[in-house]
Amino acid sequence: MVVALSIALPTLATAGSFSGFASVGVGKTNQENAKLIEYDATWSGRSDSLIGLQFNHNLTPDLDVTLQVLSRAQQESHRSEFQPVVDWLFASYQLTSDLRLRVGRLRTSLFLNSEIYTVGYAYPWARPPLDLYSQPITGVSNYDGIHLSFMKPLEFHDLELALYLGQSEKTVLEQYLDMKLLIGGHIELSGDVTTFRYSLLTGKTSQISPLTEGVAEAMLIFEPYDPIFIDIANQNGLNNKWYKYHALGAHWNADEWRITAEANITIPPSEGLGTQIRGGYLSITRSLGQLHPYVVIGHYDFQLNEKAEQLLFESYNRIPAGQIPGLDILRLLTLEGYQANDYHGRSSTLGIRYDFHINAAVKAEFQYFETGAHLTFVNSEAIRHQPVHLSTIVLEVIF
Amino acid sequence: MSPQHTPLWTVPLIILCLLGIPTEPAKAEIVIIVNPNNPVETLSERDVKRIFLGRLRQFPSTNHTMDVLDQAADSSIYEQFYTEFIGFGLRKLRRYRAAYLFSGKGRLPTEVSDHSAVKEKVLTNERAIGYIDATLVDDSVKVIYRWSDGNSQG
Repeated sequence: MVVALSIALPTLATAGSFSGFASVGVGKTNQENAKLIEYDATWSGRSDSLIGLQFNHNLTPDLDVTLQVLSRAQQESHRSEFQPVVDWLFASYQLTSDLRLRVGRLRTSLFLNSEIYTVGYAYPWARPPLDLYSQPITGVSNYDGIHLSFMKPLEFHDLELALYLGQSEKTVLEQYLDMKLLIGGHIELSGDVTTFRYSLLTGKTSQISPLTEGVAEAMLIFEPYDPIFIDIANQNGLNNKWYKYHALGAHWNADEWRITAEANITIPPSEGLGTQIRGGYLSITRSLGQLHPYVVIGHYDFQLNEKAEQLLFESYNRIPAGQIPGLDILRLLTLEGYQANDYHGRSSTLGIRYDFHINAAVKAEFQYFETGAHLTFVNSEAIRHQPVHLSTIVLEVIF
Repeated sequence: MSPQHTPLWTVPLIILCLLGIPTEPAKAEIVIIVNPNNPVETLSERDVKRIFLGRLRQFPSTNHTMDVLDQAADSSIYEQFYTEFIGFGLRKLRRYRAAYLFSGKGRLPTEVSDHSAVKEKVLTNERAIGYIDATLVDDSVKVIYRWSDGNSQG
């Protein structure tokens, strides 16, 4: 479907409309030798700079096609800087006044800002709070599939029910993430002032990284000593297991105040290197004309499956330490790796948005992370037990 | 040469100018119009708001998808319509529509130049719906909603 639309769209370009958005951001942390979303102690413009171009064409009154190409300064995989990727590409058909079908490359609607994660102009912060919108979760934001939405007005709110299914494949920071089948949906009540959303996403997930593959292969070397090392090897990876993501969000926007709160829990499969993730945040924005100061507090908690760790401890009962030096080193390093995936922290953010033009805004924010560990999988060990300060200035434009 | 005195009556005027007190522009009565052949006779206030915020895509009780028309974004009726009737300030509207458009939720209204252009589109397109100053209504269009500075009538 995506390929077919890619071929068809250029011929339609003369009849459609173009629009776009861009962010130019610079930031730095207070840590010399550690990175948080690619920022370190020197000002850099990689993490929050991007440009998006969108093409829309109405084929018939009920049928539209949409293409959105995104070009980021910081790529999630091994692409070069600003290499464009297709973020959205879909056909949309209005079946009835209540029902709408979309087919193609889409985004999941797990969180309130999942679908506009890259459109900084649309939200108050420099970026959606990392306590929730961190890469282990947003890595599955795009999928190829179908999306059906049903919208019905109720007495005070509009009710929206959405159901989608598809597949997703992505490499995020050395980790290959494959969802051969993902099924998700949300129920949303939105009114003039308030929005409530509950989302569920479940995906048959395979997760592979060179590190976990290497550990698994090394464990198999010791299989002749005890079969438990086959079980340990099998735990070092994730192969076609079901992950579940639940999220709850509420938004209140009246007069000068805008309050948003979201929480999620990610439930891993009982087997394999899955991680249970809990996170949430509360954001309060006050509008004073063109100025919009805001505060955000958030928390996150990552907990690796216990089974892998339990098996490793069990192996010490079978083959005690000191008998095979190579095995001791392997078990020690593996255990450290497991424990590095158990962490939690809190964040506080103070920022301001200034709408200096109807199509442009500049934001400046200061964030304090109780620990920056693993929020983004980047060089986390160095900053595991230290607070990290992140300062960011971003210019947001739509056109 | 004797000094010239400023007349006393000009003092309040100067103070008013210095205070920058704006003169209130005349508020237009706004009507929502469609093609006379459109089967819809009236809309509720909520339906009108949902239509211009992109939450309602087809005319109620029909299977006809709407072509929603906006007046020029720098026109006074555009500002009055969205700020006072819809209840969205222009910057809030801009943010809302950026989120709406770039999350693939649907189309934005088609912007046309003025009242006449809205009427012309409505006259030639049975799916079109737009808003104009009530004083410009004639037999070429059908009024399905009327709003005047806080008072609405379906």
